[in-house]
Amino acid sequence: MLTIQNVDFKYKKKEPLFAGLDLSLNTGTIYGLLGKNGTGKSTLLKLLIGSVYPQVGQVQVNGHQSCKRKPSVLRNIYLLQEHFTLPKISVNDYVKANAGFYPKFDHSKFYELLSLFEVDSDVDLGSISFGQTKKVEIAFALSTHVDTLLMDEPTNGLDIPSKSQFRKAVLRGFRDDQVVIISTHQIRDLNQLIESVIILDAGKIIFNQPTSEIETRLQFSQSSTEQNTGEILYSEQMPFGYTNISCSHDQVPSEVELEVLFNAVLSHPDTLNQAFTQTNS
Amino acid sequence: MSLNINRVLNLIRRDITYYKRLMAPIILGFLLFNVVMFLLVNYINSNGNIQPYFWTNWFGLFIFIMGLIFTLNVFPEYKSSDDTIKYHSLPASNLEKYSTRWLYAILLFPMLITLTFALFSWMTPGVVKFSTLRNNGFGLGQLLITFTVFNSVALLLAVKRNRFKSIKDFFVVLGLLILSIIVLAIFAKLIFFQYFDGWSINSMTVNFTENFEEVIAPKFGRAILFIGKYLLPVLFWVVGYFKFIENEA
Repeated sequence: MLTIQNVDFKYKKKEPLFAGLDLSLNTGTIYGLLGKNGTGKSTLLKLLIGSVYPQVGQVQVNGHQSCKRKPSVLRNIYLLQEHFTLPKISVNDYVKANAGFYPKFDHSKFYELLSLFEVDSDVDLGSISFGQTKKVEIAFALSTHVDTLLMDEPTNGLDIPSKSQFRKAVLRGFRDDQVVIISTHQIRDLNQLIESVIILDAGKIIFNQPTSEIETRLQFSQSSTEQNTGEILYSEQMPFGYTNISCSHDQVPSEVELEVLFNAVLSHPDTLNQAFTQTNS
Repeated sequence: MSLNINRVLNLIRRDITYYKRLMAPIILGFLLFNVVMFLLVNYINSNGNIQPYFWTNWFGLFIFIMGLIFTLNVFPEYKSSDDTIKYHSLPASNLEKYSTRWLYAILLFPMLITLTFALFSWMTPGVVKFSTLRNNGFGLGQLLITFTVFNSVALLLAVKRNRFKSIKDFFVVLGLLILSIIVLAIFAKLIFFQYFDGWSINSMTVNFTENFEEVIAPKFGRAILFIGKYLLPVLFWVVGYFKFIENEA
């Protein structure tokens, strides 16, 4: 379990990023962390892995403060960074050099994923494209079998087939005792993967709901013309009409359109959150 | 604060794998250069123009210049924020990570360089051997100790990513200075206890003009030297460790 309690954070000589941030994340869920540029998605992941420290408050991973960087905690958490550089060594050497730190590392799974992503294990990491190194990093991250997997824009730089392979690999390897947090702008890439949506804006969590709840509490519908009835919570013009969000009355799951939901929450956070409390009562 | 030998070995193995390609040409170049020097000094010596201190002089120059450059770059991860995150999130304790780099900078580098130069001096006829430098004025031991003091400062700078900009850093240095003075005062009191009344110097019993050159100066000098040679490096290592813990991406 991951908990962020009353956290204030700012980078040196910058405006405060978080003020009194609270968040609690449970095992058995793949979270999608969404937010505009500069809202602190990557920083939130850095706080969780203990690479930056909160000025106020606590960040805990399974009851341990992440800022202590204890090996017992770090061997069960992995951050797949958006930007990284890998050493100019072969993939095999890279695995040999790093796998030993993760007791549950599965070598056969790593090579299986590499072949799925069509990356040669003998290839030199210094001689391949960023997309290829990203695939190696994804394969490594998924093979660590850590309890907490943090991924920052994992599909950036991946080609179209690899995005699909990535989704399959995450779902196939996911365990009930695991927490996966995916920070992304590529909502469409991960629409079917995310089980809970967290939206970050202006240093606060403005929306935090499981996808199953969103499916049953909100109704996503299309119309050719703009709907202005009182039931419509949000309407967005699309290339072939409008996508509308309204409260669901029949509890029949509706396919969630994350991009529309994200825009709706950013423009009308109170209305959207109110819809959840109303339908819950 | 934990120190697990397996994790330390993992860190060393990782460093070797990551940096072998970078280090191999440097080491090879160094050895080749020394072989050339070896041939050159042998040629000069064979012509009767003996250069007895060739290897010791070259060693002193090399260890200070290359040693300090090496130590200042002993945390290459700190050159990029992304690499820093990766390094910090490696499952090993802060102490294990810091002590591994301490080992390279403070022990392994000077040791390997000394052994290499000792070997070359041993193979060169007519020059002063490293094994005979012990009682030869400012000998090998003194040189290595002096290097260690400077090298320890370089390690602290490497941990701090060579940045001395903030007020906090200023206070850290000030704190170090105050701590050094306190340690110095304690040692002064222990050595010159007969001249102290509590923490004040009882000037009635001290005849500075008679005693200074014969008694006080040598003892005081020894005390300062002791602190400078043996305590300051340790102090820099400890401060370096705490700065290492504080480092963020």
